[in-house]
Amino acid sequence: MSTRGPTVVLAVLLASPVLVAAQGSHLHFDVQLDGSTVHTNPVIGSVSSALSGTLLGGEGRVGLGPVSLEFGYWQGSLTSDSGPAANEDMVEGKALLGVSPVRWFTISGGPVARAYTTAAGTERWLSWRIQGRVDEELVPRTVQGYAELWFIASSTVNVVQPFTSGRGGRVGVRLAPAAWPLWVALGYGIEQIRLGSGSRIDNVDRVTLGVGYSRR
Amino acid sequence: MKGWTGLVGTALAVLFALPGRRAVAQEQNRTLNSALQAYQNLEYETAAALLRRALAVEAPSPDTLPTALRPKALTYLAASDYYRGRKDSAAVVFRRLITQDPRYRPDPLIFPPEVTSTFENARRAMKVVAVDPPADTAIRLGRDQYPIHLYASSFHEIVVGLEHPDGRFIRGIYAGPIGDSLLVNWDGLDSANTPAGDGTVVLTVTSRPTAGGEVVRVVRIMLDIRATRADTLPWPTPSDTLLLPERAPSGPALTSLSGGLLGAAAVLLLPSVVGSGTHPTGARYAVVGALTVAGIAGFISHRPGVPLPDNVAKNVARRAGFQRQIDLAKQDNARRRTGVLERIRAGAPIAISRENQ
Repeated sequence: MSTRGPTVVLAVLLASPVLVAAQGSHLHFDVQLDGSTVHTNPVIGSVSSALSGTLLGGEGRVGLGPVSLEFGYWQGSLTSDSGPAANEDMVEGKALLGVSPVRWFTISGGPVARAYTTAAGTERWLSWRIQGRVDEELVPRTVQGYAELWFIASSTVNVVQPFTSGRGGRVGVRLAPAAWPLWVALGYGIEQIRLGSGSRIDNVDRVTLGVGYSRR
Repeated sequence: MKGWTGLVGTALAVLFALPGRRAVAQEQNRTLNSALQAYQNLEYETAAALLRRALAVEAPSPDTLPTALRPKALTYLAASDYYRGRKDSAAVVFRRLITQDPRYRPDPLIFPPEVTSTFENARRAMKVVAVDPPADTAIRLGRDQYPIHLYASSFHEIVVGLEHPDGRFIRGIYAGPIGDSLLVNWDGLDSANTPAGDGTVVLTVTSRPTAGGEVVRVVRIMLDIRATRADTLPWPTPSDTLLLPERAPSGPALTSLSGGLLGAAAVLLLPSVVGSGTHPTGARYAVVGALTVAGIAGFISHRPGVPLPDNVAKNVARRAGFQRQIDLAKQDNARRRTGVLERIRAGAPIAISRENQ
């Protein structure tokens, strides 16, 4: 396993106290409960499968000044739509430590774990993700848009193919009138991880609808 | 060679002369101490002789008894004369003391009542005023006052005024009684309320026993006056960033629109950029639509030319504040144009007294 991912997280941790001291220490958090329609498309060699299903869970973020901890957990079942892949249960979690050098940009990094459970056994993925996020107000005090892009710095998978590369992105909108503590979010995300120099490609894309609460 | 000899001789003379002068000064203090010792031993003749010797040198020199010690020496001299039976001489010494320092009083714990009462009789008879103006100060005409502190030996009438060195009248400052002390002020103007101008004027304090009585003493102090005018200040310059836009500019509207459209385009392009070869879900078009609508809504809410009431209100307040700054600068400049700064340096007082004072 490469040490690139943990190194970046360590760098963020070291920079955090300096940024907190420099920009003040205002505590804020937000939390979101959501449901996602997920489509996975594993390709092994020339054999392609398609599965879909729904994941339920949530994610949140706790911040102190410019430093934030982002976390999330989802689980659900995927049903085979085509190909030899069997039905499976999917569980996913993440914990990313981020720093916002400016109000509209956050860079974060941390582990993302995913497990696919079938009758034959459980496939476990542990990836280290480095992510950039941009937030922009589209309608004043009402609608915000966001976009995330990330790459997988390293990954450990309990399959025979070694990790090659991975990347992903997510774009969405959040309807959050200033007078409301609650908001509604709609987003689309996709991630691809390549193993064994492309002998196995795992694609996961999802549309998420969530309701959240924030306190700033 | 002859020059060198002369130089060395002068240096040696200075080297020897300096300790000699210091020795004289110490001798003076020793003389005073010896006199006080003689006074304590009731040897009044000796005490009076030593004190007269100590007080003999009045001109400023290393031999002079320090000013702070002179009243003490005079008091002991008067007391010595008193106990030698020379009461008239004691009164004369006390008068000399009062003339030098009208505020001085003998310590009643040291000197017996017959001595202090002799002093009091002399003080009541003396009509002396000590004048204490600031040695070097500056006043703004029309705003500041030039303070003159006066200290009298006893109650009497005084007239304080200013005149030219040739005697021409400039301005009367005060005429009336003085008890113990008095503060009078001069505003820097003459009798026509115009600035006194550059040059030398004479501050005079005339003492009379009673109003309309004959003059017994006049104190004159030369005042050297230099007048300067203050520069006016520039008006405050409005900053380019002082005022906020009162109508919405096109920037935020285009930012919102482009943000929404770029987000929508990103949703459409992500599958091909990130996961080439995949079959992305069609549900993502809902996100594309939401982002597009949000971008258009943002453009409409920010549309160019829409009045911004918050900014209009802030600009009104800022314009009013800026106008206040200009008004203050105008007022200050008006004061500065008429304002004259006078620097006044006071010379040493010169007193002229009647013989029998």
